[in-house]
Amino acid sequence: MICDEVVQRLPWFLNGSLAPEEQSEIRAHLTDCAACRSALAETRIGYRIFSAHVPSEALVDYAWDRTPEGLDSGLVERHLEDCAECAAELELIRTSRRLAEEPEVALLRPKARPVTATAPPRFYRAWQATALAAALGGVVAFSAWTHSEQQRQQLGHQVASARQDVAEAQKGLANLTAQVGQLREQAAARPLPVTTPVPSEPAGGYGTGSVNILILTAELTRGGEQEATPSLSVKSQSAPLIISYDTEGKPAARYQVEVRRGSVPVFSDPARFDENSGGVLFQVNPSRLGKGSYTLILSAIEGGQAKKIQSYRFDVR
Amino acid sequence: MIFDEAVRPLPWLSRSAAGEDADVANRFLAGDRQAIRTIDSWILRAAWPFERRLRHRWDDVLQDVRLEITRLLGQGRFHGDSSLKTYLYRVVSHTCVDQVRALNRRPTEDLDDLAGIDQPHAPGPSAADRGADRDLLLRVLDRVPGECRSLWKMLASGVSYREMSDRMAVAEGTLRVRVLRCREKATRVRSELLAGSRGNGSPRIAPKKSGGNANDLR
Repeated sequence: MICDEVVQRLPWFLNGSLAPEEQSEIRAHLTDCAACRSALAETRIGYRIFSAHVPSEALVDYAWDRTPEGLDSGLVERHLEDCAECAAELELIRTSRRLAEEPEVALLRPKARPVTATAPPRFYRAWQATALAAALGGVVAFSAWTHSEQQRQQLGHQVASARQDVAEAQKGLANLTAQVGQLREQAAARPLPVTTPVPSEPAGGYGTGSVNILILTAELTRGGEQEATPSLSVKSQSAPLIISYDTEGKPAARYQVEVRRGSVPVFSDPARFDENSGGVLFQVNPSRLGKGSYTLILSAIEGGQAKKIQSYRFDVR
Repeated sequence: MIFDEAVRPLPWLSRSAAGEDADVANRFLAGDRQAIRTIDSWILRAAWPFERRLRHRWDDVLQDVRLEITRLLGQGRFHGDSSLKTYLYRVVSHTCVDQVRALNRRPTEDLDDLAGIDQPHAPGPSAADRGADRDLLLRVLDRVPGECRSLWKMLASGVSYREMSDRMAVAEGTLRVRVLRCREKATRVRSELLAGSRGNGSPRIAPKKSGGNANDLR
């Protein structure tokens, strides 16, 4: 391999994606060629330049509306427009800031899985299984020997009785079918107006699926105090929630959030999963809900079926 | 418990007008349960947005954050310019972003056997120069064409030149030359900026026009 070919391959030599034979050929060439080693040093500088990001402390300053020290803010802004990684990190810091500035925001975390009891030692389990099998076998054999004749007679009677029941049920079914036919004819001749009472929803609604951000957690913190059940102020017009939820890599197509007061459903709305925050975004209106204890049920909608994922309690005070 | 009663209140905190913050920080350093709980609740809340990215080592991240906060408060690095809560939120964000970046960093080829001979004229930057160096790198990056940034981003993520040429539908040779031109341009801009800053004693460089021109590569 000549120098030009080596120099052109150096970026891939450094990122480790060359074929093993190419890699070793270049390595051997570099040990003998000072010019190519110089090009390798330049390639490393190239990597440093093209991997440059806004320093994390400057990103924090920027997210908190402070001028980053020693950096042109225009430069930072242009970089943020072009660099998805820095933009995403900035968004995370801004979310953190919002959590600092908006104590009414509640965080909901997935509930911890219950810890299963430790299994007894294997030899103990084997002994238990053997003893149980022997006991069951004895009981079955004894029952069979004692009751076989008696059961045979009883079964004969039961079969006869069941046949009689089936015949009577068939007669009853025929009568019912005839009655249904008559009722259908009557209904077709004179349709009745059907009225279903619909609970009225207050203007402004109880909640909405289109939201900004927010959160609930078992470790809800407010003023440094921990509370078991998150609570929202009844004076609040909107309390956005982020329901932190591990999708195990694949979020559902749609989500639904239902809010119940006791066992009575208050409302149900669609919600969406947000990749950035890693939660289902939702918003409720505590002033419309009124004071009380509520349960929020998060369900995933897959193939038209709602599958319950998690439920959380919260209070409106 | 790592804190004991021998830890005395910090002088700067005793004098601070923000008595409540000083009290919380002092009690935290003295191992007071309530203060630890308060600060830990701030940490958990501040770090929450990063949990999804760092969940595979979340407990370690939280521990690193706690250690960093203990270190900073212990060294009296909080001067009361903002509230203690705001200061801690900023520290938590900073630490978590560093952790995210460390996680995303891709190791480059191990060149131990070439160490010392591949960079004969370029010893590593000193700690003092590192801040200015990052500023310089950002300025250089700002002045290279967008296409170069895209190409080198793929490189940094470990893509081979065969795969890159497939994705971009260009011949492998053409691709290798473009990548080389990008590197040459970037190092040339860096040299110009370095020479400019040495010449007039100021690192300030006029910002580039916009976006960069892909024709510069050819």
